[in-house]
Amino acid sequence: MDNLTLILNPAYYLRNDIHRAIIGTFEFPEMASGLYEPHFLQAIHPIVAQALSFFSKNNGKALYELQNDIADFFQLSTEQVAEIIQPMINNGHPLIQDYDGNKTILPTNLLIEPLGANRKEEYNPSDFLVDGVLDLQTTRLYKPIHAVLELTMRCMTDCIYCYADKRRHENDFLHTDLAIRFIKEAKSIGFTDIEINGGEVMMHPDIDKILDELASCGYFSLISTKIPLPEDKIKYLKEIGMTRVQISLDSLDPLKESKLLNVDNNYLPKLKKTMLLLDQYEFDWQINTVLTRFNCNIHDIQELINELSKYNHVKGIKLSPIGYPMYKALNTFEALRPTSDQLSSVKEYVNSNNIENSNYWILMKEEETADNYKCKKWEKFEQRSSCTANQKAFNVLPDGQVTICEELYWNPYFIIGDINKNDILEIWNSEKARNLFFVQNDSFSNQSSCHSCRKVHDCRQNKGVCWKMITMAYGNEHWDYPDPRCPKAPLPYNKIYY
Amino acid sequence: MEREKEMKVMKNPTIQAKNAYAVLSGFSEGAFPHPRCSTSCDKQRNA
Repeated sequence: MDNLTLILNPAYYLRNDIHRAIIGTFEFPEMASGLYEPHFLQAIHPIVAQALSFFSKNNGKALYELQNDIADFFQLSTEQVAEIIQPMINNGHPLIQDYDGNKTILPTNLLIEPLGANRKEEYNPSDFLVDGVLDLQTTRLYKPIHAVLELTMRCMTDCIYCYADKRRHENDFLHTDLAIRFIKEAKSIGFTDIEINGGEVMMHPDIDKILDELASCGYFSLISTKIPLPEDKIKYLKEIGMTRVQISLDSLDPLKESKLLNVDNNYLPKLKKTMLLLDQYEFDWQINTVLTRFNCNIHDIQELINELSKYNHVKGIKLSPIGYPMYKALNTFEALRPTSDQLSSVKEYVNSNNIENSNYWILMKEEETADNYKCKKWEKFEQRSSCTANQKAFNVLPDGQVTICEELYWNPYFIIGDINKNDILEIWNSEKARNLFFVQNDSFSNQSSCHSCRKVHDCRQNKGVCWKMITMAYGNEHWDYPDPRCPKAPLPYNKIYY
Repeated sequence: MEREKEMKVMKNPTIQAKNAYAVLSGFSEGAFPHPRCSTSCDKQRNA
């Protein structure tokens, strides 16, 4: 056991967060799923981070050597260190500890055998020296660690179900110098991930320069595209180290694809050629299929799945029932959404034994059902996903303005800064950004039930609410209403559910 | 106040060691307490 070599799981990062340390999971870990806790983020005592930093080096030291190093550093006995480390090795469940009234949680499989995997980041105990008051409770990070750059709202396709706000700014491209300056600044602050999104990211005139900068800073974003990419572009992406591409493909029926995306009949053959090239260049590529009443049927999905079985490197297909497109005409959702019968038959097909045996994943996303909004229970609401907007992350819009979540776009209530004028920490620590997170009852209008709700502190500062759902359900002007899934929330004014 | 003292002395290795055992020991496997601390945003992505 003592001769074992162990490393801090490469899926996890550590950061100094000014008044504490944090441990979290990278957005796209280069580890098999099941070997790490996805989407983990916790504040931890800096001493815990210092101890874990000894396991972050790719130096091949044996466990007994690291235990001696840790014992020397903290002036503990090696027996004490062995007792501390033992539960952290290949732990199948989270580790929990009470210290000074705070519950500290560490993720599963914290220390593991390297099995050929190297960590991309190494740390020293001195990285986690902090000043001031220790804060293990505040969920909002003192420094952001994640951003999405919306490079442009322009697209090559004009999808009938598009959720994006394309009413303005369609000619804006995030200025290249600004994007590059932002990426460098984010790197210096310690951002763990930067994603790119649009619009169509590949239509940015300097996309190669931006991707190059991202790659040189160690950010390998998923490239989601609807453009049929030529071979030289695919070759370039491979050369700079990009490995993940998502192609959006709704149907292999050329007429349907043309109708859904407003493209000509040459589009589909070109896209299929791109799929072949991605496979040839051994990308980890995947398909996203938006389900509408036109393609949500066994025939279309079977065709897609059969097509994918011809490839060697495709990782999976995500079937996403259309969500409420709030910037389209009011009746768009009702006109396009699949019927319950259509969704049930595709779900059944996907869950069949035949499909489960395929060599790539098939993920059928859940649609927003009426139950979430009509039969609301506290127990269910408390099980909602946490929102990371303005908690650890923000979005940069193509004109440089900064909002807290991609789907809020230029809604003025959520614009917290502008990278043309402010640096990252100015934006993060701005009064607007802090006030949106640390809300009190009097932050809300009398019309909102949050104005008098006793749970507002716990609700907004722990899991948070989905601001996008609020604005979709009640309109942009009622941004301060409760989350429509909250038992105290009124029925949505817009029918955003199936 | 105690916490403040604790953090101000973080840079002093001797006093740091006095805290280290208390901070580092006592971890044991368990279930996530409620609310669950992992985060996941289910983006719409009609794209």
